[in-house]
Amino acid sequence: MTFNVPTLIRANIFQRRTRAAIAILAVAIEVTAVMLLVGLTSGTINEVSGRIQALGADIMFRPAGSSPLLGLSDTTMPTSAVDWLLEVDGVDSASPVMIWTTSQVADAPTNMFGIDPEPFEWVGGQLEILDGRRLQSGYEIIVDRRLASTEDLSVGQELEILGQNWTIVGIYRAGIGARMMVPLPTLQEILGLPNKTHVVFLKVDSGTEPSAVANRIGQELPGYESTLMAQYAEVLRENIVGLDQFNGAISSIAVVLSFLVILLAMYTSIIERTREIGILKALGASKTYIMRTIIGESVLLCSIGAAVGVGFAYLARWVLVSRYQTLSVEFTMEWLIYAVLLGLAGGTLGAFYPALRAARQDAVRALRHE
Amino acid sequence: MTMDDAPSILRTVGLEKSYDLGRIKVRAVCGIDLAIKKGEFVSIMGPSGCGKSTLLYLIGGMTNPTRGSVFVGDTDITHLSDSERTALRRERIGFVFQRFNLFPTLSALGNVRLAQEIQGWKDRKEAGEGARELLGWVGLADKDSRRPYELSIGEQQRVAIARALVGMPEILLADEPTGNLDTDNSLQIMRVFESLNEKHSQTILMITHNPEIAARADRTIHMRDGRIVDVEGKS
Ligand SMILES: Nc1ncnc2c1ncn2[C@@H]1O[C@H](COP(=O)(O)OP(=O)(O)OP(=O)(O)O)[C@@H](O)[C@H]1O
Ligand SMILES: [Mg+2]
Repeated sequence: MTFNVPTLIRANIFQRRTRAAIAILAVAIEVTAVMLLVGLTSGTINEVSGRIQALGADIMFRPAGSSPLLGLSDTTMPTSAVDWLLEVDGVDSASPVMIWTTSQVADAPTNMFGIDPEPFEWVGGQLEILDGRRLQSGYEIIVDRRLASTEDLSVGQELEILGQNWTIVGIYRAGIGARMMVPLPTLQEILGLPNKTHVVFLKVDSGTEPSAVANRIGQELPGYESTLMAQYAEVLRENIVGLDQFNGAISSIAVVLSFLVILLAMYTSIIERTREIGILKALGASKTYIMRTIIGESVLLCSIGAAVGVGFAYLARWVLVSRYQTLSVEFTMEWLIYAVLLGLAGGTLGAFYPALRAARQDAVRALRHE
Repeated sequence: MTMDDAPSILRTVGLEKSYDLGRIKVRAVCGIDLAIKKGEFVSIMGPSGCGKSTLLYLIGGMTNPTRGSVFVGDTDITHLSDSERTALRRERIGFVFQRFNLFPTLSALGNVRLAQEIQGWKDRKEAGEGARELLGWVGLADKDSRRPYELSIGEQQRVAIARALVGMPEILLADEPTGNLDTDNSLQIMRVFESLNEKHSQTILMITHNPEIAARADRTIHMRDGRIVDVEGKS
């Protein structure tokens, strides 16, 4: 460090280690909390939407009012919708999919797709079988590689879901649709919903704009909704009610807490150093110098805290992801910077009042203080 | 050397400071007229509570008088803004107090360099050399990396003097600098003051309760109840 980094700042941080450590920790926790929270929500959204988008379909067709977040709504439509849809100009193929969410296989609720293997591949769902074979009929199930490895599943094994025993007949490359798939007719039967489906995935004719096709469908089949798969991530985000507010609220609480910790740390520190402030004034230190010293100390503490917080966040992500392998935590540079700025802002604002008080302190009274 | 014709470097005119405590009014300093010439070494004596420290704070521009003026050179500092007075103190006045002068988190050298930093010294090398030279003057060249609690009280006071001398202030104000010291240490401080005064014509205004220490100055001012009651010594 150079002579230009105020001498007192360095000394105060190094000599008052416990206080410094607590302030650093508070800011670090704030930064970690914001990064993890945002990373976890956007990671999950991107992972889910990425998997659905990886189907390769152009349009998701579903009953109006149902959630685009698969597995959240029970609203169904008749499978005959597939036939109407195939009539619409520009629709190349259509694949009905039923969704069932189960907690019987992994720790976290996991979606299972009921599919018709052929049309599913026609709309783009290329299930690359890594082990075993494709789905045919009856109580057969295929699982993706990630689920197979976290839950230690292999071909030939049986799984109990919905009170039935399913035989694993194949393992496919992860990243497409859901982590488990069963034949559509079997799922319809167990759920007591013959000839029903939750959604229909569509592929448009090559060279046709999916949005134009979606508009036509909207005109011909009112009462349904068509989501363009290219916009799926945004649609998901908008449909998770209160997500941004929740993130905002938790971030604000984290900022306020670190602000208060810094305020308290700097405030007690200037009270404890009242006489030192008197000496500074006797030495001719200006108000600006005194404020700069105190705010500078806080900014330095917060910067260290922010750096530690970023480190913590990466560490926490590593721990989370290696412990819960189906979890996705995504950090973006934008949010990293935002979290660090929040940490610095809380710290600077927290130090402002103590700094102002110190600068305005009556010199003689400060000197008489012991 | 005669100083009779030299202009005053420090002058107070009808200086008054009172504290309003609601029903009672404490008149800490009332009507002090004082003139100190460049290169003079003046001591102030008087019973506790007679207003000695208050006078020193007024002269150093640490607080504003209720009435009267303080001239440093030709400048009436009571007419300056707070920040102008701070700047004047930074450039022209050095302070030494009775105790707890030093920043406990800084070494002896760090304390001196803090004063340099406040004065805006930029050149690292020059600052380091200057600080070591000052510590050498007060006989602490070999203890510059020690922290205050690793130094005796007498040594701490000498560091405080070295720090007060950063930038060579025109006036050195000392409030009982030997108040907490034994005779040997007090004499050591006095030798530093005397050598500064003789070799560098440093103007010094020093408060003390010790008559022997006071007698070593050119002049001794006696105060009581906020007033000057007697002046002993030359001029
Ligand atoms: N902030 C204040 N409010 C009210 N009275 C004060 C204040 N500061 C000082 N005084 C009073 O002013 C008077 C002079 O105080 P001062 O500290 O100048 O005395 P002193 O001569 O330096 O005493 P000592 O030798 O004990 O240091 C005292 O009576 C003191 O009680
Ligand atoms: Mg006093």
